[in-house]
Amino acid sequence: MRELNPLLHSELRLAIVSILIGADEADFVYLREATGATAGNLSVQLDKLAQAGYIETRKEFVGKKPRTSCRMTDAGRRAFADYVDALKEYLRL
Amino acid sequence: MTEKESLELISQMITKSRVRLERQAGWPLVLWGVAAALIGIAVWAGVKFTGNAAWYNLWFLLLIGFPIHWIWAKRHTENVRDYVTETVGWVWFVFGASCMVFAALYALGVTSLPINVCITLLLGFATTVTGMMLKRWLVMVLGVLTICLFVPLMAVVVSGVDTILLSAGIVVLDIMLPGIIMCRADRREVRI
Repeated sequence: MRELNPLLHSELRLAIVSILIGADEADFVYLREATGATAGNLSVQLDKLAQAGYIETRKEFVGKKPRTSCRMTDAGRRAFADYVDALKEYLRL
Repeated sequence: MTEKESLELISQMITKSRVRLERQAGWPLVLWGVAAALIGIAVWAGVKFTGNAAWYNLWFLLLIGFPIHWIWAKRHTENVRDYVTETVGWVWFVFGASCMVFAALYALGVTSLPINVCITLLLGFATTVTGMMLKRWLVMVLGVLTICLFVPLMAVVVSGVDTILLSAGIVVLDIMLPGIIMCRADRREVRI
C-alpha cells in the first residue's frame, strides 16, 4: 500500500490544493477566506507547497495593492492524483 | 486526519469553490436578463400603444449596462478564476456584442435580416453552451428549446411588434432563469 504524501496529508495544505485543483488560479485573499486560515499560517503553507513544486505563486500589484496569485503545477496535479488514489486504497481495506 | 476525513475535506473544498464560481457567473446574467426583459416590455408597450417607432431606441439603454457591469465586476468578483466560468463569461460577452452589432447594422439599414429571429437564435446557442459547460441540463434544455421552438415561432407564427414581447419572455427563460439557477448553486457534493 502506498504511503500518504505527508506534504498533502495536512488539513490546510490539502484544503489549499483542493481549491487550486478546481480553479485555474486563486489569490491569497480567496484562499484565506475559503480555508478560514490565518494569513501567517496560510503564507507558511503556501511556501511549503511552492518549495515542493506543487504550486506556483505570482506576486503583482493591482493598482497600489499587492496581490499574490497561486496555481497548481503539473507536478502538483500528479501528486494530488496519487494522494487521492492512495486514500482510496486505504479506504478499500 | 483520517483517510475518510481527507476525502471529505477534498470534496468540500472543491464543491465550495465551484459553488462560489458559479454564483459569481450567475449574477451578471440575472442583471442583464432583468434589464433586457424590462426594456423589451417597455419597447413593446410603447410601439404597440403609441405606434411610434422611436420607442425602439430604448434598446440603446442596454449600452449603459456595459460600464455598470464592469464597475460591479470590479467590486464583486471573487479572486479566483477557472476555465469553465471564464469561458461562460466570454460566451455571453460575445452574444451581447453581437446583438449590439446587429442592432447597429439594422438601424443603419445595412441589413434586412429579421433581427429578433437572429438574436433569439444566438441567445439559444449561448444558453445551450452555458448549460453544457456548467453541466446544468435544465439550462441546456432551455437553450435547445429556444432554437427548436421559439425561433420558428418567432419566424413564422408571431409577427410584428409582438415578437418583442416574445423576446422579453425568452430573455427571462434564457438569461434570467439560468442566472438564478447559477446564483442558487446548491452544494451538490463532488464525489471524489
